[in-house]
Amino acid sequence: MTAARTYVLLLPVALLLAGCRWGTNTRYLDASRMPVGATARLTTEPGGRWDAELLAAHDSALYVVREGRVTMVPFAVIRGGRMARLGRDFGLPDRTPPGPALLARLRRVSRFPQGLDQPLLARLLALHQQPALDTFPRSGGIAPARAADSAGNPEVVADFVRRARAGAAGFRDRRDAMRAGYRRVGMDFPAMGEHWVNPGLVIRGELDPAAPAILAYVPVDGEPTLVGVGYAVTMAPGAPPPSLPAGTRYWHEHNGTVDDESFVVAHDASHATAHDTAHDTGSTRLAILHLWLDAPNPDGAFAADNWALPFVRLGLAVPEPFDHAAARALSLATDGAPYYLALATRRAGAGKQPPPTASPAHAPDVIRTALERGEADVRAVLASRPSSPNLSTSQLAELRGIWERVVADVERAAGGGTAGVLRVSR
Amino acid sequence: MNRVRLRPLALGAACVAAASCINIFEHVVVEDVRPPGPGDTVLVRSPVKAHLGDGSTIVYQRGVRVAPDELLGPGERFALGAAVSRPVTRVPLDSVAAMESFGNQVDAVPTVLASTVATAGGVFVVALAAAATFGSCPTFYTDSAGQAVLEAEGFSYSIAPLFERRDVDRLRATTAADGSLAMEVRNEALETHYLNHIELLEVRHAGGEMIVPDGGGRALLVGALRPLAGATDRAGRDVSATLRDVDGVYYATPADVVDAAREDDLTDHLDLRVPAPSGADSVAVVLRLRNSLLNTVLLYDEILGASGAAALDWMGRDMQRIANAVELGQWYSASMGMRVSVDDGTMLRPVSRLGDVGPIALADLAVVVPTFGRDTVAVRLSFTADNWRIDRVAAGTALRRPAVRVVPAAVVRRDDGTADDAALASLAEPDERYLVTTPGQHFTVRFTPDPVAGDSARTFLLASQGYYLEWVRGDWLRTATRPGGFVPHDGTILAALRRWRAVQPEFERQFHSSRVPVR
Repeated sequence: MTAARTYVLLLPVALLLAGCRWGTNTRYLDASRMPVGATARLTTEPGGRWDAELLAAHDSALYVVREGRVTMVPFAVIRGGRMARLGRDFGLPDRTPPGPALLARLRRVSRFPQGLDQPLLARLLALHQQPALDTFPRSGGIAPARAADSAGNPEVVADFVRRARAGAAGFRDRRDAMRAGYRRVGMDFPAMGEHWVNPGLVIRGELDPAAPAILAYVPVDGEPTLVGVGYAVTMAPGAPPPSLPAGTRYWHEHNGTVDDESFVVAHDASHATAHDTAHDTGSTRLAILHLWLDAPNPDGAFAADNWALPFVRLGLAVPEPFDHAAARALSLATDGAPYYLALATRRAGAGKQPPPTASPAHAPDVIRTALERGEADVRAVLASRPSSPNLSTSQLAELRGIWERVVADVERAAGGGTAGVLRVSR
Repeated sequence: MNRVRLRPLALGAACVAAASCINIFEHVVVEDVRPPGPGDTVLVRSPVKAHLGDGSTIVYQRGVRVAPDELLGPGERFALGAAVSRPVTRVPLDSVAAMESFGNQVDAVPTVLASTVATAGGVFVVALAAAATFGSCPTFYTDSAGQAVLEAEGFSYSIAPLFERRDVDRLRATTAADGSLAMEVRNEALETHYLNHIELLEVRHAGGEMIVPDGGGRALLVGALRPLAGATDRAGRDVSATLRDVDGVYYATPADVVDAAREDDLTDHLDLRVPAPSGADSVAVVLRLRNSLLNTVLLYDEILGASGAAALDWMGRDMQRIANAVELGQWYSASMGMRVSVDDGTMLRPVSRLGDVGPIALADLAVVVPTFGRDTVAVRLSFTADNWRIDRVAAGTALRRPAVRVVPAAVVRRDDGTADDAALASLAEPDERYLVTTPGQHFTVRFTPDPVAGDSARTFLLASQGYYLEWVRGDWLRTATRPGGFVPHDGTILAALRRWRAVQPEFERQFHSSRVPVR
């Protein structure tokens, strides 16, 4: 082969290797290499055409960094846009929010595809040294920024409770709740009552104090009585629960099956479980907040468990100082035994280190017997008291003793682990 | 050098430059990560029943392995009508008509309808299974001179326990000569229905007034109806005449709009000019409509059919997880149903969302919208293209919440006429007791409302609450295209729309002709 022919053959190869590239490559797209969102060229009315970094796409607005400031741009003012280096214009000519497909596309190229929740927004605002979120067209700060700052503020909490009370007022009669789409989910929990859930509000996933997704009822004198409400918000993977109204620590998660979540041992952080707030399923999660409107809660109005409910169910005054063991004993006399039996039996069935003397095969029978004996003892205490709503100190001590005996019996039958779940059960 | 000589030179240089390199056109596509392709064998962990072509049923308490050509695993086979089973371990897949998940833990106390049709129904079911497409809820009928009149369909698209829903439908029926109102409840589909609660709601009103439920199932008195002042579709075409009367002439998304649908623009809309009563702060938009079969195609082909055997675990396990159900519900709500917006002078303000009502029975619904002080309100109905068949849209002339009387079910009768007290107890309250019906079963609920004065009119609304589990057809087991259960994603609706457009006439014919007979 001559040198000339070799050059002729090599030339196309060389040209191929040195080929010109047109269009976008991930090497030149900041959004694919750095923790930033795509640059959007938005057309707004008013405002014309301007560039901004896309932070998040929510249902009603885009969140962007515009001229160095975190800014919310309602879809109502966006006529269209284009993602720099990503091509494909989008248009919103009729002032309606984008459809789900476009929204999903915008989210995928945003810095925070999971959306901006209150704490994240607060941190962003701090980074940008903004006291409040800008809106476009400019109209001053909006609620989310203030909300993040004001979680736990007594005025904020009081306003939340006031609106919650107004929203719940229409559901004092449980039949009204049924007709508004609430339905019972799970059993009657000793410290939480019956949960009546509105699936539509759960799916909506918004925190509106006046529209609780959950209503809690307990039977008082045979009548279902509204004692509290609950809120459900959906969270993207990794996102923390809302800080409103009283702080993130009052929220807990329910992501498993109804059955699994019905037998979670405790809601407090010292007994972290698969549904605890630290848990992240990698998909949409559901955070729940309880608010006890019409029943005092010795552990706080937003605490998930309310051990005053056994007293409320029986028409008794809630004692001060409060005695949780006495409350658990009382719950045996208010149809709590089936719950404890199911809880303890599940635990015993899981075979969590029973003592050598225990007989797991017969554990349910022994647990049932212990609970029945405890229930009879509690009823005897209640029968012996005068017709006063107040329990005496000695009666409370007696109830505490009954509960400790039940737990000890269960421990002998099924092991310390099973007895332990009764000690901390909700 | 003059310009005439420069131009060829510049063009030549450009050609040389262009020809001297290979032009590679690139762009970046940002997509969600997709799961891998389908495998050969699917392990179903949920308890399932397999219904065979010969009418026998195999119960797999601990799930089953679905291989390309057979079911593998220990099961108990019950011959048609037999109470005694025999064990089986291998069953040819082509003998399987359908499979269903069962034994969910949410519902503690189910009551199975004691029906003589239950046994014979098995024959009908398997005979029809290969072609049965009718479905998506229980159907409610009244009797008119010996003819069954379809009044409503209950809790459509409530496809899992966590989607249990209360549905309120306006009835056209009135009481019989004896003052009672009887409603026949049928399971005419390849589904297991879990009925939690049924009750009648009675509203007394003056003649000429109309009672309809709103999107939340609450009764509204909307007065007499007035026609719209105008209505145009997305292309600006006048559709006022189509929407004026209850005449069976429906608005459906025009073909050009359906064909132009893209993943990021699936929406069709109607712009309405709604006359408002003078001085009123709100007006009711009253609709009579039903869904097209787009939803059915979405459920059968995209959500369940594509997963085949894996759809059984999706229904029996995945959809029992609260987070999964919420995620699906949010995706569905964002895509389907109907969104109602009002022009407040500066923007279209969303005011309501109507859920899908089902493809079988026409539903009357009202949406209350603010007038913003205007005598004609601009209202937009937005929805996924071709999701609705809209018969009439009108404006209410009055608006208030009327008093509602609850009429509980008085008796439940089986098809042989005997009373079923257990069934009645299961339907009496929305609690943990469910009445379970299988394909081909039916029963009658009788209500006995108080008599009404001669000069008073009344309207009945039927409230029904429950959910259903779709049976996975044998065809779906054999033609699955993905390895796992359905995961909501952007392209699903468009894929369903394309498929729906391709099969529409034949699918509609097959759907309506393949009800599972109840007698």
